[in-house]
Amino acid sequence: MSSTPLTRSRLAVGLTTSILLDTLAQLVWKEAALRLPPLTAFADVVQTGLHQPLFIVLGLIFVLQLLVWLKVLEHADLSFAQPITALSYVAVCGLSVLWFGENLDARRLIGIALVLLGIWFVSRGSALTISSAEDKP
Amino acid sequence: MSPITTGLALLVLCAWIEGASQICFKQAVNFPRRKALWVGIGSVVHLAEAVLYTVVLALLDLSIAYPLSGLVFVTTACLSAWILREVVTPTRWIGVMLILAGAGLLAASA
Repeated sequence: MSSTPLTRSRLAVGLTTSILLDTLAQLVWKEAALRLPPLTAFADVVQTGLHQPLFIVLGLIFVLQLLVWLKVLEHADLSFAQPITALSYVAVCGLSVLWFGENLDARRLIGIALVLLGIWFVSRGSALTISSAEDKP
Repeated sequence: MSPITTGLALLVLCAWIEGASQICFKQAVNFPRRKALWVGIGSVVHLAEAVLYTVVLALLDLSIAYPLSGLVFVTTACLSAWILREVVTPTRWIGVMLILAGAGLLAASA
């Protein structure tokens, strides 16, 4: 299926927003996990999680992410759109270095390069292989 | 099991669960008349994965856990082909495998 330039640019905006929200979610999630006390039982995780405000923020990010994601999926295959969001690896890796003081060595840089190459391969093909409009009224 | 072994095992489980939730979200768009139902199922499945992933993050560094979750691209591509009948072209597979490899390298250096 061919896509119009408008669809294509909407898709780009949607994917970019998804990636930014995903990156934000990962960092907030780790920050929230770091504030949990040592865990003894699975139930404690849920119990403690509900009292940590950062998990509420995380929930709001997820709702926003879902709305944007459903829009993206209207214009693209799942097997096209989802790999593109791997760009958030690159963003998370960079921000983990800045925020959590994690290390960034040569091996990780090669990893980032491979992720970027992979995304380039996925983005080569068309966004939609089958019609998603078959069930529309 | 050591915390790391447990964390890794749970992470693989997370990848399949998340793949399944993604299938639900795509079904919501493919079948607009049952959109609410599919979004609902997908959200519950995704929430279950979120709780499990929180446990994983308590066991592993984000720098290990997050790149390894690149497995989700493989599980989702498999499920997209099997369930959604999407045409996962060789180019897409190469892309997904490169992402997996890149993510693996990111994890291995931790």
